[in-house]
Amino acid sequence: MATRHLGQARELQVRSADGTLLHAEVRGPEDGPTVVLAHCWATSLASWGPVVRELDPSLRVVLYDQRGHGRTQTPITRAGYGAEKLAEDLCAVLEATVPEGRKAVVAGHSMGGMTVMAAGAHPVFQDRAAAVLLTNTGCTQLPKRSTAIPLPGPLGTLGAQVFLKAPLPLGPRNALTTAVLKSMVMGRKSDPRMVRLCMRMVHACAPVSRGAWGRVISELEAEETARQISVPTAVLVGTDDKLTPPWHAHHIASLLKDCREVREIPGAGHMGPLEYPETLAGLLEDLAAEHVDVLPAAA
Amino acid sequence: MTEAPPHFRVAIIGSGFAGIGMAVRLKQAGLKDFVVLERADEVGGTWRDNSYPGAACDVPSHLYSFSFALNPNWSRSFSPQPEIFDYMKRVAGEHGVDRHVRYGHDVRSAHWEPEGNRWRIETDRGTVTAQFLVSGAGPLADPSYPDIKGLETFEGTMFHSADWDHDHDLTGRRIAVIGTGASAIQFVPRIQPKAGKLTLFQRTAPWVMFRHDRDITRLEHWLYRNIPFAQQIARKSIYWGRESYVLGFAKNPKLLSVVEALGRANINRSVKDPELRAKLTPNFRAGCKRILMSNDYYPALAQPNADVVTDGIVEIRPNAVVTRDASGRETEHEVDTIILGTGFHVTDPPVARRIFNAEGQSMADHWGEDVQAFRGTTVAGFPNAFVLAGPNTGLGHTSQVFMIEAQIRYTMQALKYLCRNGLDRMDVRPRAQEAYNEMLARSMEGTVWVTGGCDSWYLNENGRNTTLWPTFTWNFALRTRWFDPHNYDLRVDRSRARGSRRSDRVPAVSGGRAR
Repeated sequence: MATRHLGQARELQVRSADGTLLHAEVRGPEDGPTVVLAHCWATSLASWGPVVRELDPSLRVVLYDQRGHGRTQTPITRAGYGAEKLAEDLCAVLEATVPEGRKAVVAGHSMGGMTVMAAGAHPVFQDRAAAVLLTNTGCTQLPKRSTAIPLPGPLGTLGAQVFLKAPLPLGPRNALTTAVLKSMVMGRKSDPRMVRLCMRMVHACAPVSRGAWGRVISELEAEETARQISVPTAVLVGTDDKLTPPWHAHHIASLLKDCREVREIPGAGHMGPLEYPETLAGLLEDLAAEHVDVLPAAA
Repeated sequence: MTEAPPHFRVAIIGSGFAGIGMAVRLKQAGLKDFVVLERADEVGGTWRDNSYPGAACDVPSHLYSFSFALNPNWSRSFSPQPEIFDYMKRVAGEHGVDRHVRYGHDVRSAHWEPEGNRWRIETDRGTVTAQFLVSGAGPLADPSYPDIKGLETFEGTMFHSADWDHDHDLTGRRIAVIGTGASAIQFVPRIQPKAGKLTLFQRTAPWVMFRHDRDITRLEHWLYRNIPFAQQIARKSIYWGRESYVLGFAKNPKLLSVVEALGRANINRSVKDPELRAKLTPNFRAGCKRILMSNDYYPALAQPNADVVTDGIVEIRPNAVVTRDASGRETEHEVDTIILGTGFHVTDPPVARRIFNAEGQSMADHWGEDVQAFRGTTVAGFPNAFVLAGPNTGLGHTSQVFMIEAQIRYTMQALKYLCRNGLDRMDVRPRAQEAYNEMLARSMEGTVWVTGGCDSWYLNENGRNTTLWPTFTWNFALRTRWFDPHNYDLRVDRSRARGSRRSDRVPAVSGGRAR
């Protein structure tokens, strides 16, 4: 599932700090303000597609597959999974795609947001990020706050842990399984085409790496590094988000040094880029216009 | 005196499978105070150096990998060298091993200093000291050059397969290949189509089996990626299948006649010329030398531009190799390139010449003719040192990584035992080492490596097998499963014992074992 606009994607392979090869795509004019988008758990860079389609064509868009997802290499060992590794990958992509001395808007959805928050302390991130957008994400207590499994108290937490960590195939794709997935991750009024896209991406993700990342997510503690993000930040969340309920958004806002806005999207679920792409695209354009310096014409 | 050299808890020599595996296990145990000394500028060891065309592993990749790092993405059942090299780099990268590696540090000597209870390790980029020394410099570390008269006078291009000259274009050359070991049979089929004339100088013909090398199917990839334990099952099946070879090698060499029949069939299939067939058919029991695997070795030799010479080499002249046949007649073979496929220093590991005990005697001198260790890992007189892939841990039939991992487990157990009981020195008792090697000698009796009637790199000058493990590998894994303190002289760490609250407990724990 490729995103198809802003002309041809320039594909490149970025080598992360530990040698893992990351698949990245750059779209749009080389001299435009850059936007780097990090996708969420169990999908691929295609999950940002609807947003990219809405974006102003003068922006330069960088997409990449997180490790274990899409066309990026899957780690061989357990040590290859971890928030720190996600942060290193993001920094490697930033270094490879954002030219020296320039800055970019960095956006993260769900696990992508966790990536951004984990990278908060990295010099490369601090050097290259001009503004941050976080949507449907959290940095701590993820199984505890989740309401995806409708069971009371600790049982719900346990259910969420199992849902996150189980390295099992998801079974066939049919109306029932689609309905179950939709009820967990997307809002009631979601576009059926977007639900199908979501379903396709989640089923394409290998169970082993899905489970391994689920473990990382359920044990994530990124408060300390999130505190070190000093650039202007916008935080979004859907009111019906069951994996990262709005509590997370307000909690993140309380940690950030320069949180400009916390916006709750009524009726939306966890898949922000599939559910409210226009809102995200608008915000990204605003952040880029406000905080990323356009190159002088001579350069 | 200048300032004291940096001190580490553990120093590891080399960053091949042994070095990386040891470093990963130390990290997993929570130890960060260690250093890996690597002479090159990249990790990878043997798999980094041996980049000759066609280099691949003889053991299926699903078995020839770390138990903690199964790779579902192997492209072929017997993976080529670049893939294994990449695998090693990634495992090291993911565990952050490279942060502990000092590149370009070729170890010149390691001296045991009893008064400081440490190893002083001199490298060509400075000195470090460490309480424990782990040698991960395996037997295939340093290429062995043959002792042939006039070798240095050759005026063409000459290189060893472990140090391949990729800049030298072989197209249309008259090439001499010396040696018919595991490396040679892999690169000969690759260079034969390019060569103008290829002459293979063979001392002993090897047994070459058909290799069931194939692409791993997409279904298998899917299974390994998606079904938990699928890859474990595949790995264990390969392990036990390979383990059954021991029945032939060590238990009843007569069973190997089946292998010989397969080997003859492999020759007859591709070689029609009876004279060449006779040259290529080995005259000893299969398995005595390493059994090799290739599908294209014999077809390559049957080509018109290839020639097999079985006469002994007497001399190398500036532009030729001279052989002498049984009747004493000398023949000059004109060549412009010599590729040495002459193997490695296996029975005399060079690292043993660089490790010295308290009396300043090197491990090689200490051993003399009799290379031996306790459980393949520790050597009496060399305290706090572990030799991975040490004496009698080599294999002819299955994954060396399995043996290395068993040794790493043993080393970790020993380090943990010392740590837990407040001990700071361990030295294996000579009596235990003797008993262990007597046991080895007994199980070596009757195996094909001793009785098969060949001269191989498995045997030292006295005909004793100091390289191979003589029985099942699970037997070795069980022997190294737990640390056995009763076989060691242990010393209590006085600095920790005195004044610490546990001082009254420490002697009780180590009891009569501590000295």
